[in-house]
Amino acid sequence: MKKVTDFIEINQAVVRIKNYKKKLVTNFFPNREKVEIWISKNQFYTIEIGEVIYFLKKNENFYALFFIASSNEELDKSLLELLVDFSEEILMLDIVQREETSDLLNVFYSKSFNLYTSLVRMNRLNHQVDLLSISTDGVKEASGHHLISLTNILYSFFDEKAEQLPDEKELGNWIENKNVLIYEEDNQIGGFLVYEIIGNTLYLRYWFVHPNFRDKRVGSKLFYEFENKGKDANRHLFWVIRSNENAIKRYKHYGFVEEKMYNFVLTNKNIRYEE
Amino acid sequence: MKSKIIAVLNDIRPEFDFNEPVDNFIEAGMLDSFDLVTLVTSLDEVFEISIDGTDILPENFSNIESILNLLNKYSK
Repeated sequence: MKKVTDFIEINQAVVRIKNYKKKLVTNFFPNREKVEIWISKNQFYTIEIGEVIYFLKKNENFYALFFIASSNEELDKSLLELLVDFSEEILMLDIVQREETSDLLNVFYSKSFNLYTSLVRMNRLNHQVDLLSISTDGVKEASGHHLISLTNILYSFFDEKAEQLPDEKELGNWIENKNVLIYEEDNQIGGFLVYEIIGNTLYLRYWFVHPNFRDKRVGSKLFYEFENKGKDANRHLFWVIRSNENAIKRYKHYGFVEEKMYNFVLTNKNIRYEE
Repeated sequence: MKSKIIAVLNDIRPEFDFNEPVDNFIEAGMLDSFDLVTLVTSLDEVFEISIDGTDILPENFSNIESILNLLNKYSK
């Protein structure tokens, strides 16, 4: 296993695998900014086994696993060796697809991977918001001095194995780009919402209300301000854990519908996401 | 060929109208990095080609014309 030192190594990996003239089977859809942070912090590694190039992002308690393979069969062969090398480590990987099952998922299940949890993408198209009737008092953009508190909340209340949490630097970039809304009362963060606008699409990344602030309409205030920020976007998207039925119900209330687009989070250990 | 490309794109993102002229599908939020990989594998299958790794660049998939130019390279 060697450290990745330049983003270009990912492009080179795609070229090498594609040159086998077979297929391109991958779960790696890299965000350059994010990957460059991992590289700068020496957290990103690669290993080539047969016709598969793996990338691993080291986290405190687990590795996030990405692969670029020439076929399911080659992946199947190469995984055996990888699993021996990492038998002591927790490996987590995401497979995004439009079906509930697939040969690709079965490759991992046949190698004793388990389903940790699954997420579904929800969207809302051409939604019109009546902004005049909605109060967003107390909601503002986060600033640099909120960074540590926000990072602590994220890592305390979200599941980092399931939800691909940003590190402090990435969250800092979002704050700098004015992509983080917070609700603050008496210097305490009661809730926050992280979003991004890419083209005409508004992505909701994280939406959180602190338990001490529940039933105070903090969540809806944050959400309405988010809608206000994205009022020109014609498509709103986000991922939600499928077992979280209450959240799905709440999003449906806001006009979202479930897509046939799923993210299966797999692990080589016998662990499960807990609500 | 154009109608086949549009059919492939519609299959990936049925919620958008790919017949409408768009400068850049990615910047317009109509395709993301996940879709690009799906698009490459679908184009490989539908047109019975194997797009080189060196050609998997966002600019080759930014609109119908750029995809057509790419595919023409493989049909020669």
